[in-house]
Amino acid sequence: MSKAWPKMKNRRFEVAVLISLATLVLGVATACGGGTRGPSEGGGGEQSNRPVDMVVPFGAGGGADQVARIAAASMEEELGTQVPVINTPGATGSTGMTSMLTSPPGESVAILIQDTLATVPYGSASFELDQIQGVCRLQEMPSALFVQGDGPYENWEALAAAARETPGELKVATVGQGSVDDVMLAALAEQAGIEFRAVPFSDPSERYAALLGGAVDALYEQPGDVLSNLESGEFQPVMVFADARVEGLEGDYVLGRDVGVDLALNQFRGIVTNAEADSATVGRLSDACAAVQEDPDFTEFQEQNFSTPESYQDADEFTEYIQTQADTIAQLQNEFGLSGQ
Amino acid sequence: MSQKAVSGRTDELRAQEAIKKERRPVSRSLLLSVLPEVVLLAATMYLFVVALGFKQVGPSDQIGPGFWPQMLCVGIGIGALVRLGQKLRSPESRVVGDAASEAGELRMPRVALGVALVVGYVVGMLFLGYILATALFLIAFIYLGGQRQWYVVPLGIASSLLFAYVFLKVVYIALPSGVGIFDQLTVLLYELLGVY
Amino acid sequence: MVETVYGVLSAMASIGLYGLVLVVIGVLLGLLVGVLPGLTFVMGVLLLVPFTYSMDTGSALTLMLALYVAGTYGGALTSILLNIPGEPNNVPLLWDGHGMARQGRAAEALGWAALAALAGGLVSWVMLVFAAKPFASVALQLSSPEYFAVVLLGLASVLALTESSVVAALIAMFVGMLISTVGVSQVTGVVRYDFGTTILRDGIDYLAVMIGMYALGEVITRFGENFGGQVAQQPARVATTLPGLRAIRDRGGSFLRGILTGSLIGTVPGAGATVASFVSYGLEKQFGKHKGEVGRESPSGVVAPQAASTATVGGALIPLLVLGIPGSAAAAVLLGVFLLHNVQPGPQIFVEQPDLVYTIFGAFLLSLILMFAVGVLGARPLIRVLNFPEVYVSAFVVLFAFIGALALRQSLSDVWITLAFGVIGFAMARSEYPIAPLVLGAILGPLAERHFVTTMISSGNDWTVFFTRPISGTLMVILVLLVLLLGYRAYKAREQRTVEPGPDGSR
Repeated sequence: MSKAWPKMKNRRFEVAVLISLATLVLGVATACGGGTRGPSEGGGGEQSNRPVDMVVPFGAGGGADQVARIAAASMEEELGTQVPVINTPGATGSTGMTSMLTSPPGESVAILIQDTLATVPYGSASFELDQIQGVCRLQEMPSALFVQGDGPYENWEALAAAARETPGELKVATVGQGSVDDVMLAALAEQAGIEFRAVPFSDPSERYAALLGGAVDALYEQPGDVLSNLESGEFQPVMVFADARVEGLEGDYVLGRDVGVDLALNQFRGIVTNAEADSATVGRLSDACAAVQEDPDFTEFQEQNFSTPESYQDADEFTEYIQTQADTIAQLQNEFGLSGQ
Repeated sequence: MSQKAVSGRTDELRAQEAIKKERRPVSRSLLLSVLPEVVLLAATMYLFVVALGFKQVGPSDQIGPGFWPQMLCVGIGIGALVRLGQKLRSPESRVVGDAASEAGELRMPRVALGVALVVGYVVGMLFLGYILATALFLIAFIYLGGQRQWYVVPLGIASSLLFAYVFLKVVYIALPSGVGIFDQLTVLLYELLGVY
Repeated sequence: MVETVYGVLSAMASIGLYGLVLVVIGVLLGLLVGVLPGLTFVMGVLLLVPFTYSMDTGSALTLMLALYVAGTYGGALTSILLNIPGEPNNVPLLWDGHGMARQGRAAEALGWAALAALAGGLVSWVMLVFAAKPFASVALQLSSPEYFAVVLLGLASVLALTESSVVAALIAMFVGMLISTVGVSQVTGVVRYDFGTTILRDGIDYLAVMIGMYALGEVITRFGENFGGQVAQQPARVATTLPGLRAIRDRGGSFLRGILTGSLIGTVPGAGATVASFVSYGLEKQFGKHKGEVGRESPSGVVAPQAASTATVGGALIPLLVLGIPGSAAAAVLLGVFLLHNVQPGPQIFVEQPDLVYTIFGAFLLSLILMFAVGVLGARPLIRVLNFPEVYVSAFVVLFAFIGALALRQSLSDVWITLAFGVIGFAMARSEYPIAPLVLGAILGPLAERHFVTTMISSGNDWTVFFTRPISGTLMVILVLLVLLLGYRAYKAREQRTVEPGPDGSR
């Protein structure tokens, strides 16, 4: 025992503890009595100097992270407040959405991508669709199937022929089961009669290494994410799920509709916020987001990602888009027996 | 319960002690000592059943989401059974680790106080906001921990402000701001700190 | 080869004051994030990204690389001195490193850690500079079955850790792995064990388990003991911090095993410093010259995991530069910076932008040297921390633990989870169930499941692939040998111990 405990001091201290406890109780009482939210709500449309958190529901360095950082930088200038980017990875983006929803409405926005949206109809999301509203859609880009640049399949015909010979044996690396990737592969099997085995690799670098090393035969991905492998010729696209050839994407590839797939679930990245945020705040955020389009850094980023010219959507368009997209995915998941519920 | 200081004792002494332990009445600890294993067994059985309900996705011949947790439950269950068998067979293995640490004596009221302080800190963060809760926690913890100097109070307040500044401004961590009037206080403090 | 050496040397010579300042800042920041639990070096590298927008590519990468290198080492300081793992890969350092500190050998342990980090970094640097291409092609041959085998090796180190009951350790490990299955499954996207609550649906992060069990559990214990009875530190009497040449030669095997494990595992995408650190610790305990003392207060138990951790940096850069595929999460952020500056890593970068490659090599080397210098010079003032009354240190441990938990996902739920595991850790330290296997299970469990399930799906439920593929087959044989050896040893130890109930090994 290092120190004796003098009696008198002890008593005095008890008083101190009691006082601090009382403060705490008082605090709780005040809090409950005084409403649950901060001043931002009372202020209504008034300009707040509080920062607006930009939640990225994924880890470092990925596409969602990059688009958030570019957007946050230019939104900061427009809004006149800080827009710190916060990475909250977990549960295919669902964790980040919940995190955004727990902040006061209007003080936090989040990046929503196709994969996260797909978790809602799938049944694994921890948020409801009516809890969020769109601020703007920044990117929309087609997905494609890639094979090794100098591998056994030189084009779609070769790959499809091999797949027909051994149905369900050729492997395609995807992001996870029940994902949009899985839906598209199921559509390929259903509508074009070409059956692959979807092998889930949730980590992107493992996914790409799997194709490079020959552990899988093909890869389902957006071209922008494998740009360096495309430029070095290690990967080549053989089929793109789009209506027309993608500008800037070279190579001998067919389009989805050429083989009878009349369906394209494009990847998208946009900004959403709490559905309870008032319209003035959302309007301000949406305007700031529109200004991101002018940013030269962003324009360059769009090119690298092979984004479609129709990428931008404003708040109302995006809110509607989210809803229809979710309905489509729900219907397809049911149709192909991929629902998680 | 506590058995003091192991160091410096010869093996002989330890062996004697072990024998002494064995002679103690066993009935007292039998139920208590198998309690962890029984709880583990019951819990894993329950979790195994829960895992049966996980929805199978993808082709039915593929491994579903329940497979892995079920394997783990089986592993834990077998382990618990083995331990249970060991304990029932030989009283020696029933000796619950009594944490003979070289450190001071563990007092349960102090432990409870420590846990209460930490829990209070988290609850405080929720309602009072990070800055206020941290300052209060630091002062209370250090004071109750035996350092009764006057400078504990300014130290607590200064450290809490410093932490808040560094983590908000440099690392961009969203610290809880509290509710109601404390939320306003936190914002005021942030403005004074130049965070906003 | 000569050309490469010349290129690196001229890159280092022309780094200039600005570059040097960047290296210093990077190393200091790296040590800082390494020290803070919950704030991992991956997050540290990430936080730098916005500051690098305006820099040229070389400077940006210099800064981030310096942080990355130092970040694998910073946590060693807190692990050894305070028993707080700053990073998950530092957990093995708690066992021997902090044990040494408790004996008053803190300075010695810090010296070994600094030296191991330097050695690990240097060797992996040499591999990166001179043998990147062969290594990269080997790494590509590895896939899920091999990843799974490597993770199993890491998990097997748990058996090596146990001093009391192997069965109890296994149970604890399985419980840890089961804890990690809570939440949305990465492979299937299905929610598991959420019991209808949002907190559990979002999953239990292993960092929360780690911080709670080690940092908070210890604080609660020490508070309960009223901070009494701790072995006094006498740092002033410690004459040297760095080990002598003879001592180094004596531990040569530990260095070698750690470095090799780290460089190889670093090259594999999806493994990284944590797995490398655990695997090398397990190897040390099983096959090392000083295996008998590993697990108590052995320098070998500090050297091997630290050398492996830092060696992964070089390893992770190999696939990044050669293939454009990051070998670790931190390397993934570096890839992002490359792309931001319109540089495409891949085989062509060596031809098109050799200067940039040389700058990277040079910055890596400089960071290593500086990290070592700061580690050695800073060790002595840092040890003074132990002279403060312990209650101050404990109070700040709680602060750091909760900041770390908050930083995970910016949510108070993680703070509650950390708190819960703090109490569980306190209770477990007093039971016959050891803590270390549980934490290890929680860290490596998700990786094991992911690679196992992916392999099974990919092979059509053919489990023989684990044994028929050459590399994973070899690893599996090693694993089986390891387990057999361990069982044999446990059996012999039990025979010897029949008179005396062994001391509880949990720490």
